[in-house]
Amino acid sequence: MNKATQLSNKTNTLSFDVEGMTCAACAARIERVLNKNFTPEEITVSFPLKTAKIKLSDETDISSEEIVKKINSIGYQASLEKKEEVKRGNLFDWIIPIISLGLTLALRFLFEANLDSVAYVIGFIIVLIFGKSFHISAFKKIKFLDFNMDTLISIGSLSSLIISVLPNELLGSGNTFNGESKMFLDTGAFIISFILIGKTIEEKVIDDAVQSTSSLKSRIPKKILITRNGEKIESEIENLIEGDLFSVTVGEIIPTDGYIVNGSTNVDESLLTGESIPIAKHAGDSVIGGSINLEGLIEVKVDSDYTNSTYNIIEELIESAQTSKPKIQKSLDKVTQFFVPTVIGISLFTFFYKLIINNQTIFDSLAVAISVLVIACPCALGLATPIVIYKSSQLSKNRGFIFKSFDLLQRFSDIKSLVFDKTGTLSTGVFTIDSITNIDGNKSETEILKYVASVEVHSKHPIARSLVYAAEKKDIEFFDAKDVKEVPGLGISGVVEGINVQVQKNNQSASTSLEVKINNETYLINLKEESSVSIDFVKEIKKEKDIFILSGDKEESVKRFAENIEISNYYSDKTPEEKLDIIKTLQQEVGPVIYVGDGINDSPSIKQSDVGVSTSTSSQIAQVTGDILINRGGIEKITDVIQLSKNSKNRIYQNLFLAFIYNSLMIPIAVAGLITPQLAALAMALSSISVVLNSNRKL
Amino acid sequence: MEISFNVPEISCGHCKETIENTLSTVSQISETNVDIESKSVNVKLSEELDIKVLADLLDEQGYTVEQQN
Repeated sequence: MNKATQLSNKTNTLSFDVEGMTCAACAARIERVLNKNFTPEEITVSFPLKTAKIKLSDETDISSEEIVKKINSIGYQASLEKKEEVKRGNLFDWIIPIISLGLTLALRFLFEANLDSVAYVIGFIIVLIFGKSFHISAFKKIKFLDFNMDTLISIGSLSSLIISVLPNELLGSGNTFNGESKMFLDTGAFIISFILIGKTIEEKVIDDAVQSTSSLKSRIPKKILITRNGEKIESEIENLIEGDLFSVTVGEIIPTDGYIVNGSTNVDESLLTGESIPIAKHAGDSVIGGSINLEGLIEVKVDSDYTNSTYNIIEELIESAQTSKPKIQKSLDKVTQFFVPTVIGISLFTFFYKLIINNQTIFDSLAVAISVLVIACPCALGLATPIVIYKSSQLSKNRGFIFKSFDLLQRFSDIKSLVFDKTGTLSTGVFTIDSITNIDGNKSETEILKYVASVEVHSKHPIARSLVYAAEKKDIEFFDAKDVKEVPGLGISGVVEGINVQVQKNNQSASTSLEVKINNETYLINLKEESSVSIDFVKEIKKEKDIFILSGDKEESVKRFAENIEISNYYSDKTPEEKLDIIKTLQQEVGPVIYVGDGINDSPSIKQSDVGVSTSTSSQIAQVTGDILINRGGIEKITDVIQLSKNSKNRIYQNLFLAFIYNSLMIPIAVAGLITPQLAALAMALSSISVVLNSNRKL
Repeated sequence: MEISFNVPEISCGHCKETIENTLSTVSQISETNVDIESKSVNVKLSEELDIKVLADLLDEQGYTVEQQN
């Protein structure tokens, strides 16, 4: 929308979100009613976008409330455009962490201004109220002598609260805190603030991923009118079954996957794929739920239940990515499992050592013991992973691939063995004509191609498409073909200009070759397949991984192909079941395996592998299985995946090291009773700043 | 008594519902039938009623009433 008009007082354009529209006619109806009542200069109500935009003349003083009221009175629910509300919602997530950090920074000044009581109230609010969830989680765990990151956060922040209220007089004459025990208050507040910020970043990552689909969800109608078994009924989208018929008028969103039985149109799939170029669809073509019908009335037959629809699958994908706990988090928990009891042990030891051996006062010993707990809490821990995960997901989106979970991306660089499916993955599936051999005919190459292409144009097989493409490149005009019969895996035949044309696989030849019969004349068309990868790409990957090729093609052609790109491990002539077995065997013999395929025909192998990568475009996502989906740029993106996987993992380990190192180094100082609030603050500042800076370096 | 008329804007179940709800507030109407396919409305009346009243009511909701031939 045009921002200028929105900000300017002179022109008066109001935008609304409108719920409750079930079809394009509803939109038209709202337009009519608003037109009649408010005489606006311009009005557009969009059914698929669920919005209403009204441009009012300058003189009118119609309020947005009046318009909302009018729309509601005819049975819809209107509200001023939510766009800003969404932003406010996002901002709101940041409010608590930012307030928390701001107040924490203010503590020092409050003490300096002798406003101690105010500072204490604020400090306690931050640690006890803002940090409530950490204490609850830690307490639940500690009951079972179980420790995690929350334990550290809770112990660290609560200890600093305790130390801050210890009266200075009681700390003994030679106390190490120089009357500054209260300065420990902000240590606890910093711990909570930093971790809240880290959590917010983490949630932002998930939100970003979900946003595109959730906005789509709100735009798909919940109920539609369908024809089932010849009967017209109204059905919920979730209850649609295969064979149901529905029609979609111009401007409406196609609610679920199906194929067109009547009519033709252009559709916009941008809500799903981000690709906004209209795509022409005719009777017989499949359409995906969530795309917008741009041109004509179409009748669509549902071809899969809602659970298997593209939209639902994307939804489930994101949900699973959301709920899976990153493994790195688990290993972090293992570290804390050991770290926390150790620190508590050191702290207890310090207490008794000071009290009994050094003969200090209880309070002095307690103060030192608690300072050990405070200093050990790595507050930058909460920032160590989220920023890196966030940056990784942004980068992957920009580079053209999606990973289902961060773990899978991490595993990608650990696994040594990489298995490529040949057809359609390593090779393009595009064939060029190598040569045409005349066995007993005398037609020219152009003539042969003309007959062949006229029949092949009716097939969707990659070879057929390549032949049609070859003919088109030569500007050959096609004839009409009659009685076209295709036998999958064998060939195709038809009658062209009264002449029988038959194209079939030539089984005598090792390489890809077709036997063509035009009436009684026989020709051979020898094809060669184009590789989609360069030798350089293969070399690049070979540095990292052992490459295997797994193909259903003939030995000879796979061998030639593998030799061409310098890969020595290959399997040919494999059925999908055999491919699956080979993956299993490889897993036993060489360990975890990455499988790269088109994700459609080889889903069992992708599922069996430890990390499955699919190379199909996102509009085919419903048919695609895979842990990492490359949706732009094809197979060569693998190098980007490897790079991001390695870099992000290193970065997280570096961050963890940085988060722990300063605090760990301070522990001996704390044990010696030499810690001061300044040192504690320094440790925190150093670790947090280094973690943030390190995360923001280019990945 | 019955009146039938066409409402060209009728296109889905939502329209049908709105029209039925709107007309149900009219005391003279005992029954309303909306046929989406033929975009027509048939009302059974218990008392005499000018079609103009109905037309105005539906106009308010964004529908136009056309006489049937």
